[in-house]
Amino acid sequence: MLFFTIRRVLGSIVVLIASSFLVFLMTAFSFDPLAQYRQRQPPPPPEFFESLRERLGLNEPLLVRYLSWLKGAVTGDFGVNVNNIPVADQLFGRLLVTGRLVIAAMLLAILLAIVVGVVSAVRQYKATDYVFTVFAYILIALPTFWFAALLKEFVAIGINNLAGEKVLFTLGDETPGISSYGTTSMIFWDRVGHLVLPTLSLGLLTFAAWSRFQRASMLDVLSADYMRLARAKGLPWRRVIFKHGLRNALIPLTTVVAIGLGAIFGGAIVTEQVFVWHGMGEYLIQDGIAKNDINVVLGWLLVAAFFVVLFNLIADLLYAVLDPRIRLS
Amino acid sequence: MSTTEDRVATPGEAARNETAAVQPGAGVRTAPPPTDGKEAGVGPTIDREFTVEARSQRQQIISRFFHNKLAMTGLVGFFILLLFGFLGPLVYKINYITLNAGAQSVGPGTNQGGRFYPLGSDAIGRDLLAGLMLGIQRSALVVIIAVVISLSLGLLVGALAGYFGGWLDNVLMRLVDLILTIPLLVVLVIVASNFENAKTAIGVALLLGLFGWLDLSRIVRSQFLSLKEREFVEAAHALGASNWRIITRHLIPNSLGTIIVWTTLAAAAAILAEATLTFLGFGVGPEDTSLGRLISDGVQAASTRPWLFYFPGLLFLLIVLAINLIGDGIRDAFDPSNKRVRA
Repeated sequence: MLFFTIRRVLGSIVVLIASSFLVFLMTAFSFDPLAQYRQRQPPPPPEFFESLRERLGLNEPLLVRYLSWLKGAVTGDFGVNVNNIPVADQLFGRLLVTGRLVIAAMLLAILLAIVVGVVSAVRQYKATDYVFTVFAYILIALPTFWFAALLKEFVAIGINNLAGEKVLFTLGDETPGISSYGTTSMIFWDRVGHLVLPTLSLGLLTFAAWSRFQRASMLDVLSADYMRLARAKGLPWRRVIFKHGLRNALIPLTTVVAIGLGAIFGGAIVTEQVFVWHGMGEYLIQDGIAKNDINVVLGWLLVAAFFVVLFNLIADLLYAVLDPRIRLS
Repeated sequence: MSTTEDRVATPGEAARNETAAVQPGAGVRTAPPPTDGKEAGVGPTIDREFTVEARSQRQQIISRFFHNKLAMTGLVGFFILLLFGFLGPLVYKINYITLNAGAQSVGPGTNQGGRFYPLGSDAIGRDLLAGLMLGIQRSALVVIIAVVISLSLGLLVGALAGYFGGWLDNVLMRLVDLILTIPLLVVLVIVASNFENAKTAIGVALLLGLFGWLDLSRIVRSQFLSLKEREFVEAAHALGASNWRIITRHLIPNSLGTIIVWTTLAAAAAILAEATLTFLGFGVGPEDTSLGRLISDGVQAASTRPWLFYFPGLLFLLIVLAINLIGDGIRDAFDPSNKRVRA
C-alpha cells in the first residue's frame, strides 16, 4: 500500500505540473495583461507599452515566463493583480468561502446518494423506488441556476413570508460587516445560515445523478453470488446488505465523486452567482476575466486543477482501500 | 459478412461496457415499467415461443426500445416539443422579434396593446409563446451543430488512440486527462471570453462542439481496445481489410449502442451547458435567442414577472427529461440482460 501510495502521489505531481503548463498556455493566449491601458484616452505612447512589457517580462519567451510564474506559484506567490494586490491572499479568502459551499454540498450529496441509492435498489420497482427515480430525473434535467433561483425566489421567500421573519438567508455568504463586530460563534452561525440554501441547491442537483449510480451499482452487487452465499450462511439480512453489499457497491461511487469534483466546482460558480456570494466564481468572472487580469485567472485555474488532481488521487487511494485487488495488481 | 458478425458481437459488448456507458451520462438508468399481468399472460406467450419467427439482433433491440413505456413517453414527448417549436410558428403567426411598447411585462392570458398574450410578454413587449418556439428552434440548432462536431472529434481521437495504440494513444489520452483537470465550464468560459462578437447560438454551438468530445474519446477508446482483440477483427485483417474498413465497418457498428447513448446524453448536456454559459454571460447574447437566453432572462425577472421564469424553465425541463428518457431507453434496449422489457 505504501509503494502504491508513493507511486500515485508522484504521478499526480507530474499531472499537476503538466496541467499548470496547459493552464499557462491557455491563459497566455486568451488574455492581454495590457488591455486596461489600451482603453485609455488619449492612448498612451508606444514607449509606455514597451517599458511595461519589459517590466512585466512579457518580452521573454513563453517558456521562461512559465517557469518564473511556476517558481512563484510553488512558493505560494501568484503575483499581483491589476491593482497590485497579491493574488494569493485574495484567492485564499475566496477559496475558504467557496470551499464551505463545495464541501457542504458534496457531503450532502454523498450522504443522500448512498441512502437513496441503497433504498431504491433494495426496494427496486416499489413505490419508494419510483418516487426517488422521478425526483432524480427531474433534478438531473434542471439547469443549476434555474433551480437555485427557484429555491431562492419562491421557496425561501415563501417560507420567510410565512414565518414573518428572515428564517432563510437568500443573499451573500455572510451578513455584510459581521466579521468586524460579531463574536466567533455569531459569525459561525451566520455563515451556516447563509450556507443552507446554496448547499441545498448544489447538493440536490449533484446527488440526483449520483443516486442513480449508487442504485445501479447496488443492484449489481445485490444479484452477486456472494450475497446469496452470505444469506445462506445465515447472516442477518441487515449485515449482508451493509457489510457485504454496501462496501462493494461504494467503489464505483468513489470514482464518480472524484471525477465529479470539476462539475461541482462549475456548479458552485453558478450557484454563487445566483446567491450573490463573494467566492471563487465571482473572483474568476468579475475580477479575472472581466478585467483581463491574467494572474487572477492563472491562480484560479491552478488552484482548481490542484483540487481536481487531489481528488483523483484520493479516489485512487480509496479505491485501493475498498478493493484490495487493485493495490495488489 | 460483416453484418452477421456485428449482430453476434453487439449484445455482449453492450453488456460488458455497461460501466463505460454509464460514466458520461450521470449514470441514469431507467427503471423500466413493470410488465403488467395481462401482458405477461402465460398461455398465448408460451404458444408463441414455439412459432415465433427468428429475429435479428437489430430487430430485437428496436423491439425492446418500442416496448419500453418510459422511453416511448420520452420519444413522443420529444416529438411533440419539436412540433411545437417548428410547426407552432405556422399556426401562431407572431414574430418574437417584434417589440410592443403597448404591452410590456403583461401577464399570461392578458389582452393588451392590441393583441392577446397567451403566456405573457417580457420587459420590451416580446411575446413569450413565440419566444419559446423560436428558443426550441435555436436550441435544436445548437444541439445539432455541437453534437455533430464533438461526435466526429470524439470518434476520431478515440479511434486513433484505441485502434492504433502505442505512443499516439499515450499522447492523446494524456492530453484528454490534462484538459479534464480544469473544470470544463471554466475552460468554456475562458475560451468564450476571447470571442466577444460570437455571442450567438451558432458561436456557442461551435464552442460546445469543440470541447464536448473528451468523454466520448475515452469511451470509444476503451471499446476499441477490447474489440480489436476479437476474432472477427483478426478475420477481417486476414481477409486483407484496410484499417479504415475495419474501423468503419466493424468497430464502429459494434460500439454503436454506446455511441448512440452518448449522443443522446450529449444532446441533453449541450442544452444544459448552453443555458449555463448564457446565464454567466458567455453564451448567447441578447441579440440572439435560445432556451438558455429565455431562462436566464427569466431568472432575473423571477420575483417581479414569474411567468418569464416558470414557462421557459418548465419547457426546458420537459425537453431534457424527454431526451434523457430516450437515452436510457436506448441503453436498456441494447442490454440483453434486461429482462423486464419484453423484446
